[in-house]
Amino acid sequence: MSDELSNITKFFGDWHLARIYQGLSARFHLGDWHRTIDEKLKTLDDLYQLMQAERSTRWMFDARDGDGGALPDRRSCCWCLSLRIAGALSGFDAYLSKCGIPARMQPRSVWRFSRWLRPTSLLWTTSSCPKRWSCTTSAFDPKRERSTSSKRRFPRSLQTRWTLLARMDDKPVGFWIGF
Amino acid sequence: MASLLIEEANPARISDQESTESTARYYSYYDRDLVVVDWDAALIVDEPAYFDETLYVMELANVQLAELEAYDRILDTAVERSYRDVSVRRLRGRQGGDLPARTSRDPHRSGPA
Repeated sequence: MSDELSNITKFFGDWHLARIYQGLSARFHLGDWHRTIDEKLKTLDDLYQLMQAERSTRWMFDARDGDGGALPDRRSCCWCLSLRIAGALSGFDAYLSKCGIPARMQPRSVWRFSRWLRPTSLLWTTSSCPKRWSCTTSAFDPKRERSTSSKRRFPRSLQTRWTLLARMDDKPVGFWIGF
Repeated sequence: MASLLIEEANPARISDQESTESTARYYSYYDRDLVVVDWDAALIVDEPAYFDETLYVMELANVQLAELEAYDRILDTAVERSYRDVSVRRLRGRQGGDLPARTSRDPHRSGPA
């Protein structure tokens, strides 16, 4: 229907009728309406691309993690996910390089890392994690454990958002950034 | 004629400017026919046998206008919802580029309707 209406001038065999239609079209500002709708469609497309890019960024770590396999199963254990993140915490730059992320895009600190890896990634399946007990009992209050150097590196406002979910040996692995 | 097109009860009070504006778009083929179109109404002077085609064209233009208004309304809602979705994501601390600029042009405001 829309196409027929948009191309209605094709059906005019009568130049006089076509002139009348052109006059009506100008009086009703049909061209302006078309342009406005095109602009809004473009805005919608831009917004969609923006959200798509953000989602791709969130998935980047997990999608390229380890052997570079497929996207992780949402039902996978958050503990396993934490173990995978351990590599990033212990050798972050190397991990990012292995993931195929260009150096110019790599965050420069663990704090930046927390902004890259969104908390939703860690909180997918906390409730269904088979090792939830061991995860949660390892949780700690970062305010008590922060060091002098961490004070400098991580402002208080950011520290309070960190919650440790699990440890591996004496090394913290897997954080929940609690917004 | 202008008072007919703009449905003004008192033709004597219509200004010259409004009369000219209302009757500016007129079309004629033979010396016995005349079509004058305006926003709210149109005047057709012709043989009864030839009315139909002109009326058909006018109806199509009206349907097009109604269709475009409906699209515009739907898109307004969709764009608002999308901006809200993106804003919520931003409030949660997610990164991204600048939001695309909102479209400012609106025939509702710029049009003479």
